Amino acid sequence: MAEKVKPTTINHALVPKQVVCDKEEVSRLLSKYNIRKDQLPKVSIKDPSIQVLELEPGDIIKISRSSQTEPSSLFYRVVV
Amino acid sequence: MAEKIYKKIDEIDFSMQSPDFIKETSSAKIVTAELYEREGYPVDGGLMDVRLGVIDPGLRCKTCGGKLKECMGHFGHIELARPVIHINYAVHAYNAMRSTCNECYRVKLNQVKLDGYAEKIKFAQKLGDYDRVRKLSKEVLTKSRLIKKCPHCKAKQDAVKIEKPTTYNQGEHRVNPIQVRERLEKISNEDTILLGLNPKTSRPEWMVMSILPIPPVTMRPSITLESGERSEDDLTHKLGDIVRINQRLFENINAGAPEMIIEDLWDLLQYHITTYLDNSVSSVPPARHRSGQALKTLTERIKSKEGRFRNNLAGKRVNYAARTVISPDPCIGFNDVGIPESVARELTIPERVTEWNKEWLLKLIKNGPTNYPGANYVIWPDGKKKKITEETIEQILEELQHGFKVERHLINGDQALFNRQPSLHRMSLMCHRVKVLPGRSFRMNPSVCNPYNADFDGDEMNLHVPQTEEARAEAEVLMEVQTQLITPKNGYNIIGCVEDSITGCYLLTHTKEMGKIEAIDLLTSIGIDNVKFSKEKVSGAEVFSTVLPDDFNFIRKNKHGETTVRVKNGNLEHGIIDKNTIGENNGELIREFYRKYGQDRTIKLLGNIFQLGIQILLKKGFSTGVADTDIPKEAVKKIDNKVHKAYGKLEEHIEAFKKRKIEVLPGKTELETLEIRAMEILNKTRTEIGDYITELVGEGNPTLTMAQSGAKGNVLNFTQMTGCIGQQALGGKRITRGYRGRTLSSFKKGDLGPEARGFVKNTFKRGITPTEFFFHAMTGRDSLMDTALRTPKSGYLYRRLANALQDLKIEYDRTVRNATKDIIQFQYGDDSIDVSKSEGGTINVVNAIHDVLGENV
Repeated sequence: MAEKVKPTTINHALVPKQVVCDKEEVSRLLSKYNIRKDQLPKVSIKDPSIQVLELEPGDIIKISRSSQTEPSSLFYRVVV
Repeated sequence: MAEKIYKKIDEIDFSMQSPDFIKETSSAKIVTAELYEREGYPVDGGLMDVRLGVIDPGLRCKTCGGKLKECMGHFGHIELARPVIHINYAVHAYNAMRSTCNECYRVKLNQVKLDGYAEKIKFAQKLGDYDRVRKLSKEVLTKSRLIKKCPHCKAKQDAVKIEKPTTYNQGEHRVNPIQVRERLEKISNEDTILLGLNPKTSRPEWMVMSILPIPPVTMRPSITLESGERSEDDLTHKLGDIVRINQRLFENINAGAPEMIIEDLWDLLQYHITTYLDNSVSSVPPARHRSGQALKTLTERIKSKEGRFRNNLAGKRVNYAARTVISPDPCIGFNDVGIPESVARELTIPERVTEWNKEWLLKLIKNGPTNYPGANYVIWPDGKKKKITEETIEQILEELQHGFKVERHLINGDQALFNRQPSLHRMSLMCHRVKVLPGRSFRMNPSVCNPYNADFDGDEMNLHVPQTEEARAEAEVLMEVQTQLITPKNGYNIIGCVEDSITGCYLLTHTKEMGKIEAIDLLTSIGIDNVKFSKEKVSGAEVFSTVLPDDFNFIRKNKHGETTVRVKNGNLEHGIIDKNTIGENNGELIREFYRKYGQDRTIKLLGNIFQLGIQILLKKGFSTGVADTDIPKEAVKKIDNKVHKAYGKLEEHIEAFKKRKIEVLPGKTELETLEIRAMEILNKTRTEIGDYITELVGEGNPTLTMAQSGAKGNVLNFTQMTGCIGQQALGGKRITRGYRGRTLSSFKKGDLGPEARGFVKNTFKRGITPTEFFFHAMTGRDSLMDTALRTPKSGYLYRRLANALQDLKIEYDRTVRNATKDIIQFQYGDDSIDVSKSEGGTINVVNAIHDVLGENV
């Protein structure tokens, strides 16, 4: 059996920065947009880019990324 | 008006129909395939039994007593002599049999596992997670079906096989529907849940039908042909077959016929019921009419493009609509639509009779349906509708009072919705004002071709007439042409001047001097008659300025920051009006109009500019011909020299390449470098020739004028007609395909010269050589194939996108959300810019500041 590889941060221009939100931030986010957790955009728990964060379903990650129109913008995803 | 809603659906449960339910709801037992008696009255117990509802006027339903249209019909039933498999459940019945023991009828998993699954399914159901339930029961099926020994009663299991569509075998033996039904009956309710069914609403044995519901006659009405003969619906035909075979099967069983005959009849009954439910099952030959046409049975009624959903529910036919060929008419306004009189006579608007319009409406009624403008129908306040004919006209004229409605013909100024498919964006359906014109086609201003993406090579368009005041008001406010000047795609104007009007304005603003009389004559022809010129000679710019408002200021700068057009206080002080200022898609002058004066005034100003441009060409005379491309002999020689110079230069490179002395570009091979150099040299040559010709021909050449004003064509087109067609390229490279080492057999192997690789040095006018022609045809075919393949592909891509994104909207908190309010994007476009208020996606900050401070440019 192959040894389990410890996940590492992917350092690549195309992989945006991702951070876990703490409880306070989560409640602030949900009340700001007046939503439930399941109304957030989703990200699979198997997604390679979040392996290093060792998340559980229901956690929310904050992604800061750039787009054509804005050099940096915030995005949130709930882990499923 | 709105009816009170006293019942609301909050849940729908889809399940199988139980035999008890069928019997309960049945109002007649059908026993004979006969339809009518000799007198034409429906037979009792026949398929057209009066207890099943009425389709003949005059008859009354025996079940509910209602007349035609009052009674919506009632189901009947027939009892099948032998049970039959329901085709749509054949696979499910098969799965159920495979997963259960053939002796104790339990699911073939040990009790611990069964309990585990039962627990999990119960939990998932409680959560309402039906995807999970489905997954679990599927797991039960796959795990239990291959077990060869029952864990409960230890009985040996032979594999059940299905022989498509409805025959089952176990080992050597056939399992007939009676046995199937018996086995399914013995599956316990607990196990049923594990198989993915809810035993309260759907017992597995119901998948085998012992009783068949007969749909009401109202669902399958017969039609009376001209000859007086009755023609029955396809469903009635199929049901007739079923009843007939069912009766024969009964008789044969009762008479104790041999098993062989009974089996055959049974199979036939199975076939008929299968095709009755679905006549397009792959392994069953479809049941046909005597003419050979396949019957349209239950599944075909619902399914696919011609089925109930897509044809009758998602899309319906409408009244008050017209469709015909479109043709251009630059003399009508942007928001006008020219309508043939024949169409105007047919399309009507209901007008309520009041004190103020009674006389006028009476006049219309007197004109009747044939004389335009007239009226077709009159509606009484109680909803009675009468056609205006020679017989009825007297009575109508006498009775007409306030509160009546008159369906009068369309007249000039009425609102109508004009549409061209495919309706890809909101500008595909706009509100126009009716203008009744002679002829038989819809007329539109060529400027609105762009939003509709229409041309006049035979395009047809649709016209709808809104019937209520509310609808008309909505059409006017939300979708009249001037409301759609700016496209939400990028904030540019989608409507602007086209072709002749651009050329005209270009020529006008180029004119240094024209007579006062001439100028006034020109302006009068577009309806501007209050202009005074103090001088005897006026410039074109001054004439153009008369259509601009006095307080209008505008500056257009090019890429380098130089001012190209300047308007101050309504005077065109500097510059030339062309496509970049008044054209469609980013005509900056038009956008400035819109920003300053709003939509209604913009469309008027734009209309004036458009008419002005056309009138100039009409007055001046403007035409293009082959003579435009005539150039002096010396010029031809000079162009020839340029080409030969390029040939020489290329030859040097080829020599260098052959001696392997070519300067290689980074990341490229020597050959690639040579090819890049060749393309560079040859393309540069053509541009040079283009520049030379432009200079040579100078102003006054109509073809070049059109290209430079942006009205039609470009300088490259002109160059190709006059100077040199240039290098033909396939996929961005010179042509290399063909024979081994060469493109055509008329060249030497390894020839890298321009002529052997698709350079066309001739012009379209002079004519091209056979090899040049061949190369040109290659690139021509390539681009033709490209467009032919890309159009349907991108069309379908767009359709899927539009369907997937149709419920997304921007909420007040600037998030993008779908119908269930799930967040798709936290900030629209990451910058919250309303694209329709931007210029190509960015906000013009200078304009915004001026707007706020109220300053002029």
